[in-house]
Amino acid sequence: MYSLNREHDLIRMTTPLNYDRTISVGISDMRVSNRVGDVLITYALGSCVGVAMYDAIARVGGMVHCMLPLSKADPVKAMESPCMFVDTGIPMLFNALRNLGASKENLVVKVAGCAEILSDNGLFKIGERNYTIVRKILWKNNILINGEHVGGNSSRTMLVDIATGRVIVRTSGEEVVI
Amino acid sequence: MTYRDLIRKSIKGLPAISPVVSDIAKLMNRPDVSIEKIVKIIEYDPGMTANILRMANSPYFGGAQNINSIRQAIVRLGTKRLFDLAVLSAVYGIIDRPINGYNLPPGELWHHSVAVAIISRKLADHIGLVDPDTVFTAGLLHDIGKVVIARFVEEEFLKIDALSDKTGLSFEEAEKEVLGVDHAEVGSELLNAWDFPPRIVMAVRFHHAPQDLDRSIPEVDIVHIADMLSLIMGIGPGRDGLRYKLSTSIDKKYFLSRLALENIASNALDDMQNLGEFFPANGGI
Repeated sequence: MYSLNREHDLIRMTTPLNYDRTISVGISDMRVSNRVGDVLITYALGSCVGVAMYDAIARVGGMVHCMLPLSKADPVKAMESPCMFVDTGIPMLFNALRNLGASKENLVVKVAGCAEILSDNGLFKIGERNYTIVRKILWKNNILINGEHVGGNSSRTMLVDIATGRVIVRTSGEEVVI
Repeated sequence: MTYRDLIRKSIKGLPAISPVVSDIAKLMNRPDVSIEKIVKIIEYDPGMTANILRMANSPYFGGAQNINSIRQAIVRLGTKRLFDLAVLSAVYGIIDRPINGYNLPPGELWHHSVAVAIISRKLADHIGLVDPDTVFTAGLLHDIGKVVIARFVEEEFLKIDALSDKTGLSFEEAEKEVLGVDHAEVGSELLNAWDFPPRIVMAVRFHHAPQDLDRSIPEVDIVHIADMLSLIMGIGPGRDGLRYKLSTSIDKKYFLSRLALENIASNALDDMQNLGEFFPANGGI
């Protein structure tokens, strides 16, 4: 799975984190965990979207990093790499968490990414459309977005702390808990 | 001394790219290039020879063909493809470093460059009109100016950042405003000094501003679009983020659809993986 090795981003974090293992989530990748001490991290969300879900009662969490909004752009690819697309990636994450004991009622959902280049003549609009599809799918399933850090022109790094469910976003030198 | 002078001076101070690449680049500009001559030049460098043979046998470059010599590689892949391989091998050591002014950790400019090379090639296959090998090499080298200009960007980052923020200038426009040159121009001067073919130099020079050319050059447009797509995919945006602009109406010129671009993006990741395996120093791609 394509992933960038940017361990130093974690070292520069100013928010205290108590972790002993980091699990990197690549582009078009998904990871879940129920192990206290794990931190899930995804680097360089450009127009891509990172969706984090956490169930505080079952203490399980997960994250998916989707690149494109709709699987119909490449149905063959969607079969082998469903997390590449928002419409197939979010159900994958949801099912994986349910298998670990999470329930829909307890899910806390956070969204980050969806940046755009300064002007794209409406050609790509991938960030905006990723965000629209995330909202649509969650809304259809009666799931609310509890926090988000989206849009703008900066790339983002996103972390989920499995012990607490805290989601942290790093962007252009700044760090936010969402 | 102005920044422009200082930057010019550091271009001169930079070690030359592998002499092998410069020698082949010179030959590429000539129509009567002989295979024997190229074989001789490459085999003079055992490290590069080994790298080229490994890559030539990789899935990305056709794969499983059992290429055992540079001569075979040229016969099967062609001289242009071989030039791609030589540049890949030579440039890796230069652009896999951390690029501080742009906050790019080790390996990230390399990942971005490979992504732009691969996407450029896919766009060339899709659009036609241009030689896929030329845009591959141009894509690979498009940001090489960042290696030179990074430390000046670091010094003036706050100024560049604020200017782009306040005025809506793209990052490289603000870079030019503050430093007198931008990374595209610096890159093209570097490649000129290394005797690269003019089409590649032009593509690097105008990769953020194809509209500044009197007459459009498809190679320039392709590298430009590939660069934007790669940033959107999150491969290589540093501190400059996504603060770049897509050139107006460029998509209409080539009848590019959103679907075609998304298809190219979705397939580019596999190719990056295939090619990336050969450069594992930073944990691979």
